[in-house]
Amino acid sequence: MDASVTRQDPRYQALLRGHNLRFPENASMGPARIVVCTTPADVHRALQTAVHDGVRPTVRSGGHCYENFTANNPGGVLLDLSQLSTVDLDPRTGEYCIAPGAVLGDVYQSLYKRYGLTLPAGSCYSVGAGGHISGGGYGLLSRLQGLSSDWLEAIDILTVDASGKVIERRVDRKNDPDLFRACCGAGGAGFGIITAFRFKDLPVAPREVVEVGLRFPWDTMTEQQFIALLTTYGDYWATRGCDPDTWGLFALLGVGPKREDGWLGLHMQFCQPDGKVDDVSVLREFMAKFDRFNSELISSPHREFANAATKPTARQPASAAYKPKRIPWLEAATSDRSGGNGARAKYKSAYMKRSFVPAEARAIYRFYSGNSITARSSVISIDSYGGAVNRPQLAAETAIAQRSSTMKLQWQCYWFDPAEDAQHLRELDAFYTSIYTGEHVGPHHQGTPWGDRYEGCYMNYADIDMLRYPYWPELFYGRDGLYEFLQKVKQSYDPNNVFHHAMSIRPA
Amino acid sequence: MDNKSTLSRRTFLAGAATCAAAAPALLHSAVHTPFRQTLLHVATRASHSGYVHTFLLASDGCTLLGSTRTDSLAAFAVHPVLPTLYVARDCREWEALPRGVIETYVVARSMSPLRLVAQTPMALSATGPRSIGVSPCGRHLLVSASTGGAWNAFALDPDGIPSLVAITRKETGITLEPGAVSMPTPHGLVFSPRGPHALGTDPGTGCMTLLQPSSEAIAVLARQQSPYGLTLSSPVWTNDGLYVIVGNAQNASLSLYRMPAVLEKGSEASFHLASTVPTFTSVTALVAHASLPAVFTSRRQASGSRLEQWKIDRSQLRVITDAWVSGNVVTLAQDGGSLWAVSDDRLIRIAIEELHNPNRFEMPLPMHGARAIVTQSLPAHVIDAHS
Ligand SMILES: Cc1cc2nc3c(=O)[nH]c(=O)nc-3n(C[C@H](O)[C@H](O)[C@H](O)COP(=O)(O)OP(=O)(O)OC[C@H]3O[C@@H](n4cnc5c(N)ncnc54)[C@H](O)[C@@H]3O)c2cc1C
Repeated sequence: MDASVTRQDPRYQALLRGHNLRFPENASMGPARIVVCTTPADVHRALQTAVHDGVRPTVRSGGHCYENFTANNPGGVLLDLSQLSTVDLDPRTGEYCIAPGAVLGDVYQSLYKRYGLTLPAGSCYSVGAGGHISGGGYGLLSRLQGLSSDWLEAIDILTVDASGKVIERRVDRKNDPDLFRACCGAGGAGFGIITAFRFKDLPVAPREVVEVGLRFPWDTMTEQQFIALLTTYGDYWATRGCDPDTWGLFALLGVGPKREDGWLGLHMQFCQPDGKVDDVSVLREFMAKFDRFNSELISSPHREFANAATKPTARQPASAAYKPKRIPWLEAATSDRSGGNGARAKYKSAYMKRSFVPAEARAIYRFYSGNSITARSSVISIDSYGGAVNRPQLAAETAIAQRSSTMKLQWQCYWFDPAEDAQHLRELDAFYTSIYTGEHVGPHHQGTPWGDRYEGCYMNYADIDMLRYPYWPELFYGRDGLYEFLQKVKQSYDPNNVFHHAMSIRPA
Repeated sequence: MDNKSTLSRRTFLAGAATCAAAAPALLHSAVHTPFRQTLLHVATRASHSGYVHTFLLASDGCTLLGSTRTDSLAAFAVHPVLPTLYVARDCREWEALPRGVIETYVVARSMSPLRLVAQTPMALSATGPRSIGVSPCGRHLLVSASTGGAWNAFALDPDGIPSLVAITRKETGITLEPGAVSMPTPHGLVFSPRGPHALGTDPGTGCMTLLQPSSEAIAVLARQQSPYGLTLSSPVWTNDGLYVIVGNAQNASLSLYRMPAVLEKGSEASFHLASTVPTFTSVTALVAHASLPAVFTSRRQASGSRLEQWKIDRSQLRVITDAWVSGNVVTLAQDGGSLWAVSDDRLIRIAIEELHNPNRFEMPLPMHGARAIVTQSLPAHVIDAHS
């Protein structure tokens, strides 16, 4: 039975809050009602009522949206699907069913404990399946197993037809194949409400992984050393990192503000392609690339990154000193890696097909050597990417166009004071734009990661700043006609544009 | 400004002066009282650029105060008491989001008669504004979003500035005909002279909807399906509040709808078709008589336009006077004793008492693409306060 929470209800404020406290931008932007649904039938009913009443429905599952796609809905209704959170095997079809409100940590727990399986999805426990899988969610196993949406067999979705009637559909490669393809990566972009993700096969979870961290003295690092560090890192992913024996290696290089006694951190998780960790030579080989940067080992990367003042554990080259410590994969997958809890935030992203050029690295170095409030509040996570994600046939089968990239960058900026909003948004945007301005970017795409070296941006890291570029659909959906395809799907399945937000697929 | 579309102020003023000399009697009639002044705004649009030309109607002439560039103008409306003009702009995007924008201008008697004071975005996906209306109480502004399939409402603050938050009502699947599926394209709208409710017309679905905007929602009080389809021209509401007249699309005719006399909160509202009258050719513009339960229409006839004044007589529309003017009249306005018509290239004023009198005030419009006109009568001190 659903619960309808109006503005007068004492629960309203609590239910309105998503992960990013920047939204809604002010009280009057919030929806008139929040409907907490517990079954797909509740969702159907609430959606039909919204359409009938002529009010805009927005949908929230895990509430981790980076932009104001759900909470900003003046006069409208927010459908909260967080209570649709089951992870089950459907005995009729033999499919694993993940409800949209299930959070990733629980998905990992359920799939692993009950079936020994996993989903190559994100690293944050509390992210919801609803937005994450439909947007092509990726994580530490994605180089080995692809994106979470690459494994979809079918989805259950509610659409609204031209006459305003809500239609329940099970879509797959045979039934409504175009809608199915659209939902494999662009599902949150305005076709309907997904009430279940269905998987026939899922990868077997690794039994164990090794986790290790390196850190580099940041405060004394020169610009030249930083450029060398970034290019070393980028070169690896663009070359050796494409070899299948390395696909079990995931790395994240975090670049944040330069502080006294500060460190740059590189976090790695590794297992062999067969899910074992008997042989860590690939990992060691990767680590050895960084010995010349005075790297130091840290064994519990998450904790160490949070406290950069912790003493190093070894004085010899890190790659040689390293003694792998295995941990159960489940422990690694469900450790809390969420960032930005209780904060206001802004994020940006870029896919990179090649290594860094000096101009990019220089712009990053200079920004973080400065003392701006945004530099002090932000970090760039440079994730390894590619591997199984880049199987070429997937571009035509799914709605994720980026199948050639070897790194994925994410800018994250966090703060608490609403008075700082404008400054952070402006400064982060200017910083990002500066990185993609110069000869390394084509003349028509200045300011954006687009061209030979780049593959645009990630829709699950939604960023409305990019809307100012008329070619923004290309940045998110590529150049090979995917956006036009999605517009056709939109026209067929949501002809009235009932489901829309700032970056949803626009009617043709 | 490109040269072609540049409006020469001098040409305009010269034209106005000539006409003033030719028809002083007509010009006199434009002035209501010594304390009120009447402005006439003419909107022109060529491709995406356009202007609002603001004239001051005075006892000794008709003066162009100035022309204000307003790109992609879709519709405009004036506030009932404040010196304020609202323009709905038909941009595909506003600040990179798919939506239209409402511009609020303060009107003054100066060479720059319109001063932009606010730009208020419509709701997300509310694209293609076509009509805009302000409630007689001056507290609500309603806009149709034709390609967005929605209505938008804004609360107006005491200075007439729209609230930042647009309330939206999406017209998904509203057709009242069983089995019919048509895309909603809300288009025309008119406020009742009696209250904060408006009638919206949707040529896409043929639906007429009685809407009541508030700061939280746009309530639907009643709906009716037009048996003959609906034209793109906005409906008109008679000054007594009892009737709405709409143009029909499927045959050249006008329909008269009887509106509910009083609308109380929570009460059942309904309206019904009273009569339909053929017009021989399709009506292209309608305007209500300001002081009588009557309506003026224009329709194409031969190479010109037939202007007709209709009276409502026992729930029937009846022509009481008419006139023929050369050129294609695209829009009408009424003020005091005058009917204003704009054709492709002229501004025409006709004394209502002498509709058929060929001795009219006519003024060339140096710029083509006239879309709409509206008159605005305000106490002189109000307009002068902003000069
Ligand atoms: C702390 C944090 C860590 C993250 N880590 C990762 C990561 O490791 N890997 C990664 O790929 N991404 C990551 N993300 C990004 C995340 O994948 C996206 O923000 C995702 O869209 C969130 O989904 P949600 O259901 O939690 O969010 P919501 O805010 O509920 O939804 C996000 C979007 O999806 C739509 N949506 C939600 N549910 C449905 C549904 N059932 N049907 C249709 N549309 C729906 C919403 O309308 C909205 O537009 C992270 C985000 C945060 C805040």
